[in-house]
Amino acid sequence: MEIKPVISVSKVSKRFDTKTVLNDVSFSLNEKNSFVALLGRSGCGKTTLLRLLAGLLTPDDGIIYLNGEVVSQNGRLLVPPHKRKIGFIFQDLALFPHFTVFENIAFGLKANKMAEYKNMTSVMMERLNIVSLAKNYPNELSGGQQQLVALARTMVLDPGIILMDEPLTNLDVKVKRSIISILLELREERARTFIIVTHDHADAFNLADKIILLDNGKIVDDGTPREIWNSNVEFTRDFIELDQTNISIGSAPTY
Amino acid sequence: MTLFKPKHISLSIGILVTLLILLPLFYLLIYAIPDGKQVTSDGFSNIFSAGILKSIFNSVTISAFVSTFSVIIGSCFAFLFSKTRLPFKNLFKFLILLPLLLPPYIFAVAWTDTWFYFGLDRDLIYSPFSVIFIMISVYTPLAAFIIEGSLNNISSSIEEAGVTMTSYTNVMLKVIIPLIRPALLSSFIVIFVLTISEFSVPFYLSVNVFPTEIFLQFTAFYNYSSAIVQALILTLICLLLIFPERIFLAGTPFISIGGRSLRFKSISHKTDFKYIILCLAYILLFVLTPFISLIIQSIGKSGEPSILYTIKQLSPSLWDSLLISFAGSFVVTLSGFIFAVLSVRYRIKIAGYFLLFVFAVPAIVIGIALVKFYNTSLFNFIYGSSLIILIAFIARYAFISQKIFTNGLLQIPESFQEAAKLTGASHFYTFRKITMPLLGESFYISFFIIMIFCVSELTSVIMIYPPGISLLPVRIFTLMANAPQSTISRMCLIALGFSLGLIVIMISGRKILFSQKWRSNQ
Repeated sequence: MEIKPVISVSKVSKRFDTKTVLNDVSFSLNEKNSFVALLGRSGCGKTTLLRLLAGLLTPDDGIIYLNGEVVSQNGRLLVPPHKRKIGFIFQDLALFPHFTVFENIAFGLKANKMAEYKNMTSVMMERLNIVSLAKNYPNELSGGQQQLVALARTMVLDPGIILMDEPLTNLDVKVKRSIISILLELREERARTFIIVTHDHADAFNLADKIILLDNGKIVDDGTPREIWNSNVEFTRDFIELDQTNISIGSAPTY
Repeated sequence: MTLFKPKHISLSIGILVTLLILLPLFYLLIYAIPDGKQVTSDGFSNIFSAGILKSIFNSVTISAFVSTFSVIIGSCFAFLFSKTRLPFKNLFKFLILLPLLLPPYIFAVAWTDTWFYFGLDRDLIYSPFSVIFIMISVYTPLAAFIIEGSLNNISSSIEEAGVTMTSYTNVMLKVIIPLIRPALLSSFIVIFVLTISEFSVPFYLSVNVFPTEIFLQFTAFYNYSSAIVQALILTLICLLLIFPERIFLAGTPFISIGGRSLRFKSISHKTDFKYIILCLAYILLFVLTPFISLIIQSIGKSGEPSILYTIKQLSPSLWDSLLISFAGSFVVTLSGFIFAVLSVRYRIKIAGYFLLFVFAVPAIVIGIALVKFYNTSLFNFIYGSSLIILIAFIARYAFISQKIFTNGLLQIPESFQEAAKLTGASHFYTFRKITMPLLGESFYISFFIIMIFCVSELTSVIMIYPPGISLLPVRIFTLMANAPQSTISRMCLIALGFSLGLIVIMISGRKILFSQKWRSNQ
């Protein structure tokens, strides 16, 4: 039996007015339980690619498949975002300020009229150890706590693919480490596909088992962290060498 | 597939509102084309008559003086509010803002009372100087608040960098003022346009300006030809000023220096005693004196009707005004919201410009256009009912409401809607649960501000009010010529109390309704 790739992006391009943000991008993820990092400098098209996968944008050219089904094709949105079984953690987290932590996490369940929403929300809060924050509002939380609430709100709907836009920026080292360990635990537990956008090499090497390197709207390199580390592609060499001090070489082969 | 998508509903309402206002204005334009029957070429040649040229000259001169002085005085207050640790700042702000929220004709009555009381020369009272004085008191707060907003947006780092190199006066002259120049120019133009369209104050003081000339031609001499041509010229002047202001100034990035850790908490200067005296003196002169004068005048002489009689006389007008302002505020707020959604969420730029265009059209012109267009057997259900007043309110104030909602919508990140969309929440569920609560304060403020303006609106309403409806400003204005002074002063005090009551409800209600924990910044 043929195994359908979880995600397949074929010759996708995206333009905003006259600016081409993504140009003829293709890649494929075959394994369900994978952690992919989209790595590149600011403005290289990482977030646009993530939004295309989520269905928040439509590609001008090319096809996007999710689990073998065409979801977007040549300017047409064939499957709307909420039917893609995708979770999205926004860069600004998009926590609704007028809802408590509990209400934020329960939002999607209630919107879908799930009778068990209270129980499901509580289970997810317990899992992420944020029960004590249930009645707090987002403006009463620290950056790390907000990150956990956003993660809980996404995970409670049990999506097949979790997209995260720069989830680790603006966090101090300790909080970052704890979020990374939670992400890795969730991945182990739930066998889901995680795609993370980052411009930080260290995050990509610490978390991912596949790295896709973008530059000027094109994929310039991809592979496992070790393959990227040893890559002979000139851009990759330049890009990694820029910030080698932040990367523990030992961490690369770990994942 | 959903049959009625929010975009379609918004567009349908937007188009309906546009047609209700645009068709009368378009009709006026067509009407002005000389065909020898309706508008003769005399309508155009009359423009060059000495009387009309004088009214244009008066209008421009008065507007120029009012704008200049309002901006100068307003800048001083903006500086005090933004750059000093003035005690009772919020109270001072509230008191200084009051004249802007109250009907200008009340100030005309109050100041006339005051000047007569102090024995000022009658010719001086009924002169352009009085109009300038009163209009400055009305529009200074507008300049102060526009400029204060601009000053508050300047990062304190910019000022701090300046004071490490030179004196604060130099920083003010070389750095701060150039940065707020667009706000200074913006407030000048907006006040100029509002003053040149003002009708009630010059009319009460018998000063011949362009809007009063148009009003007389239309309502007293029935010279529609002349009135319409003049109305179009006045509109053209306003549009020529407003549009460049919007296009070139409103979007000016006057805080062009971006960067890390911008701090907007400005340098606070020590509160000098003279600042407090200055504020108190201004409030006493421009805000309290006219009120005190109204109270003194309202006491009246023996034999004149009692205050209870005046209230009884006005009660139908009070009731009608309350109902129509309530309905007006509702439709204006709804229109403002729809147009803000169309321009911000659906990026239909024309939606933003349309209401600006209508806002720039003077009230007197709106009144004439509505009368000429809807006074037909086909539209008699509009012309003969309160609907025509509601259309006038939309034309006059939907732009203000749209600005309030635009600011509110821009503060809701698009990611909120996207996050809701990804969870499968429907458009209406998202609107009910996310957009509405987050825009609650905008709805509240828009509703009350517009209601306060609707209660005071005179210029357009005086031309269109249908039979059987008695609105407060129209009632007072029509009685001004022949009622005893004490009665007029009492009526003005009642109107004032009415508007003040709404302001107090708005402020106290806002404190109660919008003080939730999630709104406070950590």
